[in-house]
Amino acid sequence: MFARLPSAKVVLLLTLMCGGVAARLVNLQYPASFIFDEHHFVENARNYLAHRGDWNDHPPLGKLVIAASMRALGDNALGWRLPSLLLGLLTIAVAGVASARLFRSREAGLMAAALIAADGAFIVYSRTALLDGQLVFLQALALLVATFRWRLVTAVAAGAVFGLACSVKFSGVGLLVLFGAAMVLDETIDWRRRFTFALLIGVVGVVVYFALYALGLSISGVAWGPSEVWANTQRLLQHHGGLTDMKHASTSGWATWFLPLKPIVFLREGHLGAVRMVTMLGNLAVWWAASATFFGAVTLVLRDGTRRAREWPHGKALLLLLAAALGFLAPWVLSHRDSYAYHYLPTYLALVVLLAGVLRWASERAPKQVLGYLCVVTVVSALYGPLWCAAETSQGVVDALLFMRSWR
Amino acid sequence: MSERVLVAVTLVLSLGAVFFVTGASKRGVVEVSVVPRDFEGLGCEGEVAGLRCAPAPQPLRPFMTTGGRLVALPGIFEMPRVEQWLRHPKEPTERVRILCDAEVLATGVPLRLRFSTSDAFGEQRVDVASVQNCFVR
Repeated sequence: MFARLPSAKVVLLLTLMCGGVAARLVNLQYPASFIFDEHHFVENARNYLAHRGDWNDHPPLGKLVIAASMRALGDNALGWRLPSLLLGLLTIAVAGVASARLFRSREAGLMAAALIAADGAFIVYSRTALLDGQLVFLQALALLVATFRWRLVTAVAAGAVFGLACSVKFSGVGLLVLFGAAMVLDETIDWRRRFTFALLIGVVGVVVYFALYALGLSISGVAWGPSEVWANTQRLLQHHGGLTDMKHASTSGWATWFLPLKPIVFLREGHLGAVRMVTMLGNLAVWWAASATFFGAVTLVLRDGTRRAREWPHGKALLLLLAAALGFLAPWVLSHRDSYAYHYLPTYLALVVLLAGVLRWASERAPKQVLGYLCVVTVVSALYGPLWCAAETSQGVVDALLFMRSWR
Repeated sequence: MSERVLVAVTLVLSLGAVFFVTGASKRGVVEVSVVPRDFEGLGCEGEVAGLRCAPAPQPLRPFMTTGGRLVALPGIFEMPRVEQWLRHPKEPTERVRILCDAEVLATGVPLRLRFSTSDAFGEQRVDVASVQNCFVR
């Protein structure tokens, strides 16, 4: 009778997924007012609905998506947050499929989906009307595109995803590193075709970006030609170029994100001794394992070189995921732009998929240890879950769980 | 089979963790600010979480906590130390703070409330808690 039941590991992975989905849904409309940076994006979504100008410092797409949801569901917490919820749920599925294709293993796909589902950072960004969840989804989509053989249609799809990502936030440009690495690692195409595809990605990306920006400008009721898009883009880039003082209380340098030192607290309310909190601190068992995987993989690649790394079992998948991670890390390493823990999320997604691949590899050699690790992930999710979905708890519990002072 | 036992233990532990973390919020200290005339003025209609509005031996009344949250608490003015103050306030308009140990029974429940004898009852959402060990500060 027991032989027909799913394996213990599958039960655990499905539990993580179901729990993660539930944590995205519980109290989704709480609070009914803005938390963290939601006002930047919802107020500008309102501006689009009222055909007024967008004063936010990011391109229009993210706010247009929120505006579309508000038009369908009304100007309320559900209308603001539904796009993040849907994209957050899709991220689980898309990243899972990408992982399964990268590592040629359904189990790797299931593991990636479960770890992403059960991580607080992804949960919180699936429940708030912010742009970084959208960017994380596009990173997952880009990973999926990169798993296909490079043909014309792959390059067009990659260009479209690149254009969409840059239309949400300029840091979407990091996807070029992933697509570049994917083409280099595909040995079935020659350099001439790689160059053609790279050109195509750039052209399609620019067309998508200009079209979406022009759409935003036209909805705002202002001139929307290519020169206006270019002028607005330059203005935003100049603005971002000037944000280098790192004086905001929530800023954190990129090197601290692997711990993380300063995850952002979105909400903190107290009443009758009860505390409601929302923190973007992830599942520590996943976060720290992903960081360790990153440093381990980088060390191995530096030691053996990329040519030898390609020959490792799933070496290409590892290099691809490192490229995806570094693509979104590079802007913060190479510039002095003010940075925040949420800038790490697209990188973190790639590292969690890499971690899933490593766990899949390890489960053939040390299945009990991998199962034990997944048990730890499950318990940590259960402990921290209430802090990801604004459930009531006590200050004592908050102090115990957020044991680093900089986390509170 | 041992793997299944491990997973079963994990699931039980996880459920326990969720209940522990969320259950920890049920108790706390509530602080409200009142004047003697609130004894007559604060009132509600109906019953919620097993507690009744006036007439009742320990009637439920609405209060605004010093933290600015609306909460319905039973029998505050009937607590011995509060009753003692109510009988002999230093002056008829003396404002005092009352602190009680509270246990949350329900949150965000609709209840018809009023805040003075001249007000009509109007429905508002309110948290409900039982109280004990109240004292006047």
